[in-house]
Amino acid sequence: MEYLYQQDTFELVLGWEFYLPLLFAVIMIILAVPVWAVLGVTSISMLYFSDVLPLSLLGESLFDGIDAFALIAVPLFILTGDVLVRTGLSHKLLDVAEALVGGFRSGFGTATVLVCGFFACISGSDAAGAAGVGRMTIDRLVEQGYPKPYACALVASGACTGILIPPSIAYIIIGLILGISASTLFLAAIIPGLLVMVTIMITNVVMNRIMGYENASQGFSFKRVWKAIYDGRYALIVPFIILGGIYTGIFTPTEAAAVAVVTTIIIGLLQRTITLADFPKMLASSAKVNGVIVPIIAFSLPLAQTLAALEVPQGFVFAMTSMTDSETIIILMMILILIVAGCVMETTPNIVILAPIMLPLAQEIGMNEIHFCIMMVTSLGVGFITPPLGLNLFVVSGLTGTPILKVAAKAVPYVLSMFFVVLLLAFVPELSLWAL
Amino acid sequence: MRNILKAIDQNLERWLLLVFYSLIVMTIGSEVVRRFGLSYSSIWGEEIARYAFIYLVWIGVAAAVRDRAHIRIDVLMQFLTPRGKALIYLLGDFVMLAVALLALFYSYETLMTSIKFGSVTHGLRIPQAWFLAAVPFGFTLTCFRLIQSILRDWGDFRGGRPVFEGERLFD
Repeated sequence: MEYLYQQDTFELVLGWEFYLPLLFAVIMIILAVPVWAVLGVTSISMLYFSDVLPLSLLGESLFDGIDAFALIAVPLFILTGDVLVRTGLSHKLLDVAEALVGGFRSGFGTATVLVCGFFACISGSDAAGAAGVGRMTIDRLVEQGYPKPYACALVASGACTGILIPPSIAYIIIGLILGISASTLFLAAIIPGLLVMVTIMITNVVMNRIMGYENASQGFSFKRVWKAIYDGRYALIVPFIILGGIYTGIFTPTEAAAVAVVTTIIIGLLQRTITLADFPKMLASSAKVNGVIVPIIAFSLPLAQTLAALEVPQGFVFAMTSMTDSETIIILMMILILIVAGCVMETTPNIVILAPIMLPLAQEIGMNEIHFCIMMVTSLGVGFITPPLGLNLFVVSGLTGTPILKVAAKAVPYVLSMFFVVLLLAFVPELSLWAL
Repeated sequence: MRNILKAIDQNLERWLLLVFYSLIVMTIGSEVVRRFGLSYSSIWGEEIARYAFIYLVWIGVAAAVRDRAHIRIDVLMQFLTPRGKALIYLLGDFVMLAVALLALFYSYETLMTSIKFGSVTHGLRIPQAWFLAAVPFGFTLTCFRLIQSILRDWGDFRGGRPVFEGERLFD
C-alpha cells in the first residue's frame, strides 16, 4: 500500500459496489426519478456496499454539509431575480438595453442578450433569468421577425450568463467545495462571463445576416439612452451595490445578496409596484427553488466523500496521465467530460461530485485552481442549452409551449460558439487570472 | 376544524418558509447595518441566519414535493399515456419516500446523539438540538407530503384520470 501515490504502480480497482449503484442511478434518471432522490439512493447504497465510511455520515452531512454562511447567498440571489421581475425593474433594464443597442442591426436580439447580462449581474441563478427575460422578450422577438423556437433558443442561451457572470450560485458552490473564496472567483469570472455574453450576441448577429430574421431598425439617439438610464436608475444601482460591495471587500457575497434583496424590495415598495401582500407568494416561490437546489448539494456531498475514500480521484489522475503526456489533450479530455456531464446531469451535482475528482488532475498538469474553476463552470454552463437536461431549454419551452427539441435544434450555433469560448478560456489562463 | 386542517394542508410550508426566509434577510440585513452604524457585529447573527437557512432548505423539500417541482429528466414523459405517467410519478414518489425515510432515521439518530451529549452552539450557547431538529422535521413533513401524493396518484391511476403534473417552478 505504501506505493499508492507512486503513479506507475497505482491502479484503481473498483468492484460491483461502485458500478451497481451507478447503473441504478442511470436507470432511475431515465425513469424520471427526481435528481435529489437519485443522488440519495446512490450515496446511501455506495456508502453501504463499499463499507469505506460509516452510514451515519448521511445524517451528519445533511446538516453539516449545508451549514455554511456562503450557501445562504443561494436563496438570496434567487430572490433578487424574482423581486426584480415582480417590481417591474426588469422592464426598466430592458428599456436601457434597447436604447443602448436597439439601433444597430439585429438590435432587439442583442438587447435581449444584454438584458440577460444585466440580470446576471443581479441574480445569481440561471433559470430565474431565463424565465424573467423570456416572459418580457420572446413575444417581442417574434414580432421583430424571429421564428418562435429561435427566439426561445436565443433567450435560453443568453440566460446561460446567469451563472457565468458574477454573482453566481455555481461559483459559490464550487468555492465551497474546493475551499476558495467566492469573492475571488467572482473577480476571476468577470472577463470569462462577459466573453460568453458578447459571443452569444455576435452569434445572433451572424445568424441574422444568414437568415435575415430581424430587419426593422429603431434608430439610435443619446436622448433616448439618457432617458432610459434615468428611468432605470434604481434598477441600475443594484448591480453596483452587489458587485461594488463584493469587489471592494465591504460585503461578503451573502451580505451583498441580502442588501440587494432589501434594496430591491424597498425600491418596489416606494414605487408601489409591489405591496406587502405580494411577499408571501414571492418568498414562497424562491424558497421552493432553494428547496430544489440545496438538497441536491446535501445528497451529493456524501457521494463525493465516498468516491474520495474509494480513491477515485487518484485513479482518475492515473488513468488520464497514463494515457497521454500532452497537457493539451488532457485539458481537451477534461472539457469533453464536463460538457457530456453537463448534458446528462444538473450543474449542481456535477460541481459537487466532479470538482474534487478533477482538480487533482488539473493541478498535476500545473493548472491554477481558480483557472480550473472558471473552465469547469463555463464548460458546465454549455449544458444549460443542450438536451436531454438543459434547464434553460426546459424553462423557455415551459414558458412558451414550444417543444423542447425544436428549441434545442435552434440552439446548436450557440452551443458551438460557447464551446469555442470554453476552449479560449482553457488555453488562455490570463483571461481568468489577470485581476488576481 | 375541517377548515383549519385544510388551511394547514394548503399553507403550512408556505407559512414556515415565509418565517425563516424573513428571518434570514432581516438578520443579515441588520448585521450589515450594525457593522456600518456601530462598527460592531454580533456572534449570534450569523448563527441565526445559518440555522434558519437549514430549516428553509429542508422545509423547502416538502414544499417542492407538494407542488411536484423537483428537478427530474422528464424526456420520457412525452411518450407515455396518462396511466403510464401516473406510474412514473408513483415510482419517483416511492424512491423519494425511501430516501426520505432513511434520511429521517439517520438525522434522528444524529439529533439523539446531540441531545445525549448536550452539545451547544458556539454563539448563542443554546442546545444544538434545536437546530439539528431541522433535518428530521423537514423529512417528516416530506414523508407526509409524499404519502399524500402517492394516494392521490394511485387514485388517478385506478380511475384513469390525468395525473397531477405539478405547478411550474417559475410562474
